[in-house]
Amino acid sequence: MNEVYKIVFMGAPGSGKTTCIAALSDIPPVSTDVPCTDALQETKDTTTVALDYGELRLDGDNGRLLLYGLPGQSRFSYMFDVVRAGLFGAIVLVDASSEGAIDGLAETLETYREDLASIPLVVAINKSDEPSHALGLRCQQALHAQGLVAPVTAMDARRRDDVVQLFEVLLTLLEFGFGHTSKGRAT
Amino acid sequence: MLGQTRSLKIACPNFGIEEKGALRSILGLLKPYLQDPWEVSEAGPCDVCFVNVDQPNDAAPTADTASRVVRCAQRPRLHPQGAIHRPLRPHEVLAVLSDATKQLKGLDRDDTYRPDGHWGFRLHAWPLDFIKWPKPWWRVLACIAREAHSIEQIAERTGLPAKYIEVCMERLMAAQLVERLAYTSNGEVAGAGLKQKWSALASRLLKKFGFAR
Repeated sequence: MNEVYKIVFMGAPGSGKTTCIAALSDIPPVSTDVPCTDALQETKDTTTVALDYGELRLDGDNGRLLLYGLPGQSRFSYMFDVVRAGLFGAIVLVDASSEGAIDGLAETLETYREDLASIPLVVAINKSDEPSHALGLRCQQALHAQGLVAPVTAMDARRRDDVVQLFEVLLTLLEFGFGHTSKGRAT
Repeated sequence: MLGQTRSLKIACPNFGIEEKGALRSILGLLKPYLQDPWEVSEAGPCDVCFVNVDQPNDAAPTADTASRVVRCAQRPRLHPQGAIHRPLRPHEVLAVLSDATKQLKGLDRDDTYRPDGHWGFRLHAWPLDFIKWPKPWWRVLACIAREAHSIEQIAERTGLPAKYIEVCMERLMAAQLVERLAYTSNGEVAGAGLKQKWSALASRLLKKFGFAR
């Protein structure tokens, strides 16, 4: 059986989506990067205008994990329709070096709240080896503001081991947080 | 337990005298709209505990005595979902107490409810250093991130010994990252097939990345 699963990386321009997918993909990632022509020129040469795409093959040819990179801004929300079916996890990237990091995260969480509440979600702080405790707390506050509970962790998108560790967290969430339907009740 | 004549009790142990007075006034205003009478309790067991989380150190010990804890904060959006404004706002108090009444009555009808120690645990924030925690504890965190579960249920779902889970839970409670809630369960766990599917996918991916399970 040829099964297909999807994971999406989301975040502001420069947060590391393209790098994460390149670190994992078994195929040359398909990217829609174009030269920056606006204020982003000061921070990077190119930016993704549509989506990034990569693939991981599972057990030879018996299954594929599709990796998508999407902009987190609300004006691109229509693009989420492309990946929604079959999506089993999301990693939202935060650029620790950006002044607007938390605002970007808040916008992404608010825009996609309903989708993100129904799948495993990890918030990954990129571009900082030792992000401040305060930045982590602010990420958690942004999650709380949308009624979301998700792990927040630091990573370096250039290191494959870090990206793989994100996957391990996401898969733990999938297996132990989404693998059952509870019939209990709490008050 | 919920008799028709008994007032339901609200504890607010770390509220000031003026705030307690304000709550009494709000309860008077809300009386026509509440299904059961509520009163502010100065001591003893209570049905709902309002905690001023702007002074969290005062609140922790007393929150254990209530089956339902309501966080009250000047900026509730900075706290887990369910927190309400302080100073208290009548419409929020009405919503909280109406909800609590329904749930308390539901518990009354449930023969399996054991108020003397059957607790559910629900995570309200992941530890920021969770990546350094033992990986089996990640399973516990994942298990209680979306809904409350008892220790027994967590053990069943994660395959970990109950004692090991209790240690994790103690650490979470010490860090105030988990809520302890009165809990009922019919003991039925659905969706085992779904778990097998995700477990299989996780195994395949982790094997590909070089992790042993």
